[in-house]
Amino acid sequence: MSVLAPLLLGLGLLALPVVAALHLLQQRRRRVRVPALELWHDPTPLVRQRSRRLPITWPLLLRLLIAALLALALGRPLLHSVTGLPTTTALLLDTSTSMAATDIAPSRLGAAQLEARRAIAALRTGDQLAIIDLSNPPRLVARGGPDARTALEAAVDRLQAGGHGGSLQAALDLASSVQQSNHSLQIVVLTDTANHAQAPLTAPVSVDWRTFGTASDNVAFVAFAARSTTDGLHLYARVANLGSAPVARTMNVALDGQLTQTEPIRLEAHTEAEWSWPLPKDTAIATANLDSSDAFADDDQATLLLRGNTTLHALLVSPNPSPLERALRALSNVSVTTARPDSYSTAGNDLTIFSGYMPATLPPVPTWIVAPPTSALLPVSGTSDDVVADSVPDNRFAALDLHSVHFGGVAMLQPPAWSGIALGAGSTPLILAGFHAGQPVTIWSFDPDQGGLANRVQFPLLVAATLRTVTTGLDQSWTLGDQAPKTLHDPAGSAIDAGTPFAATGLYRTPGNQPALTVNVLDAEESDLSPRPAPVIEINTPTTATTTTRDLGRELWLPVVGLVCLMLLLEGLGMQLRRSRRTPQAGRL
Amino acid sequence: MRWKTIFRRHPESQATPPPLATPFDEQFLRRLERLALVSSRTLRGGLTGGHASKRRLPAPTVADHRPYTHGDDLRYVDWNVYARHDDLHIKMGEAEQDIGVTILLDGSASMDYGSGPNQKWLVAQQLAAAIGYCTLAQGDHLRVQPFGTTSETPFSASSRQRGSALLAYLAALRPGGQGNVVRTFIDQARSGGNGLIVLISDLWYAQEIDAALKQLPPPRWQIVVLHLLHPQELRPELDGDLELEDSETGLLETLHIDAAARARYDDRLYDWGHGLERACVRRGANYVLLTSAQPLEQAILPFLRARNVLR
Repeated sequence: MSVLAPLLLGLGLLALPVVAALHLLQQRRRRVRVPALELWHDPTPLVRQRSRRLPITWPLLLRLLIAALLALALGRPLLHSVTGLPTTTALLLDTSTSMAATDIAPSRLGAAQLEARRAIAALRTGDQLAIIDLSNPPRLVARGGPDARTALEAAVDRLQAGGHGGSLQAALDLASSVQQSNHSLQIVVLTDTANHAQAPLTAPVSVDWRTFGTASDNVAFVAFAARSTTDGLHLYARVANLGSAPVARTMNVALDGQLTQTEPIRLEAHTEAEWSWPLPKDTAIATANLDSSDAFADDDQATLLLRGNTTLHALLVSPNPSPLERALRALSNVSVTTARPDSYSTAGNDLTIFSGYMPATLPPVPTWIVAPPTSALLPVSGTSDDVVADSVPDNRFAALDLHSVHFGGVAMLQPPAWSGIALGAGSTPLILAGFHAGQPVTIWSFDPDQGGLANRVQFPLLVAATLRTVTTGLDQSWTLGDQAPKTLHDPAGSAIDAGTPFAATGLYRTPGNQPALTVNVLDAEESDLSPRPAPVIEINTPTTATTTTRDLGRELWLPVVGLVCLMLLLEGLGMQLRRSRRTPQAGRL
Repeated sequence: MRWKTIFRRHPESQATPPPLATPFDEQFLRRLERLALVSSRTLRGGLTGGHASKRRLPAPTVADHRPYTHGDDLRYVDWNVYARHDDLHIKMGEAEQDIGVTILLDGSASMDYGSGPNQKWLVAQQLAAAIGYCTLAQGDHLRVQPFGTTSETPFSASSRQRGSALLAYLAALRPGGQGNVVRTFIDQARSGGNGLIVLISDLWYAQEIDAALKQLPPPRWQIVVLHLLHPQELRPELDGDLELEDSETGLLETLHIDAAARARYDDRLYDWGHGLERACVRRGANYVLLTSAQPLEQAILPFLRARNVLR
């Protein structure tokens, strides 16, 4: 049995203490004035004052029962048939970086995993549970019934916090797709609400939104990089106070393990500050940390791996001259080599760009695909023009204002399972990003030659942002949750296999103990631990199964009200009987 | 199991009605004319009045003789005795005397109990009026001393014409304070004189009645104690969980009253009443227990006659 109006039920239950209080008031001792108490004083227990407590009488119990039944009727109880449909529960676990915060024990993600285990334990025969990782892109990590509890729990345990969080709408769509026929659907989101789009969302059923975490203050590194200037290479750091109170910290900067700078920091609430120091030549590793940890320790440190003025060698493979070449050559530290599709070699290049061409297999290097023709890897069902981007699930492109850009020659791609939409127009992907065979791959589904994009000021910015996306890791800077490109040793010295998500920040080394890459948070949105209100989720057309389930339930408020009326009648009869039996008390004071 | 509505009003919460504006009706006043106060011969008063005295004074009505002594009035020499016995004897006769009657009227808050014609204070007013009026009708000196009332100004009169003033005075009295019998008796003793003391009281909180009576010993003083109680005080019908409020002290006592508690009250009331009676007898005072439910003329006055207080 369930109730359709739990709020009214709760309000109705407030009548219970009121009824008890009225009875206590009624049982208050009558005051009688007597000439003198001289002869009434008696120390024996028969006459002494008795404790003031609520007498448990049949009328009291009856009235409490009536009040409880009325409250139940207000709550509109719904009786489900024992032959009702089983439930498919989609459990959406937020695994964004902020879920690693430890403001609640053991962590936000740990608490969410505990909640997920409870849901797994509560599975009944016939029920199904789907675990969906609310990452970018959302992915179904496990699914099963009561007989698959072990697998479900293992899948929950494998989840790690990292990344920027995925599209909630995509996750809701994925959740609605897991509903089995003849199953009712229940969607539960376990999140810290720290970073979700507030745009109106839709779901087939009402979403059970369970929030973890508290409003915790946090100081974090939001940028830590090396910049090349006319004066040479400089180390740049930006620290943000994301809390609601001023803080004082000390920042320590170490170069190649030697402490070189100690900066006292005082930041007002919701402010940032920047520092820059000249970097000596031949510096390999720069590390910065804040002296005191807070609820989110991962963003209190930042590590940078330096390799001097490393030049990115990019190979542009295109059957025709591409405007990309001009934009890439305008970028510093990028060396562009062009080749035709029938004669190219990826050896010696850090990045391969395919423009208007799609190879049969992707090379084992970071790859950027532009305006791909249809192929086995990327089937294209057609093209469309004059498309305007309206969603930016990947925040690496969030800084670009692309609302006035009309994309042309947009290939209608079916996003591969290994990729997620970084920039989209409705359900049409404009930019896809992901990892294929351990290598970062970014796909532009549009042709920059069409729609006039190549002539817009946003074009070089979009090229630079895409280059940062596709070369993630080439500058040896990775984020939590990224998959290790190869076998590495984490900062604690433990070996992790390729494809394993990074679970700790710091410097990762190769098996030969050579510095390989660094993992940082450096994400102001993820470091901001203050919870946001839950997004508005509108319910679209209910699924057939859900409707069927509701039809199987029977509302009980009418029988309950009838029972209350019967009990009131009985009480009235009892009172009348009592009055008729009461003998007159002559001479009462 | 108790079946009650939650919002039922309790009849016990009604307030005590105020005393009657006119406690004396015309018929009652006419009856007073026929009443006479009987005083003891032990009382000594002035040379006027209608009460017999044991003082042997020379008088025209011969009751006794005594030998003549120098200075006796020769008008009272019984010359017949001189002729027969050749000795001078003085004729002794009974001299009539008036007495002082003091009514001590308890006006403490406990007297303001009950309602209607059975209200204790109303009955006490009528008692005081009856006794006082009889006193004035006999030409005796009357003094009414209230105690515990809102005003303790005494009333004094010696003539029958002051009867209406007495009734007005009594009607104006209002109960409401705490009475102190001992202090009142001490004040009376300090005032000197002698006479008949009529105490009208419920005697609550008068445990020192023995000490009070000791202040006014016989034969100089003759004391009549009219112990006036309401029927509810003699047989209370209280029941259940009650918060009793003492009318005089205002103290509250939360009690559970049942048959056993009422039985214990009856026992204590019996002991208390007999204790008061014994103390009165020991000190030579007349003790009369009255209830305010008894009609004044049908029960109180015949009872007073039986106790040789009224003639």
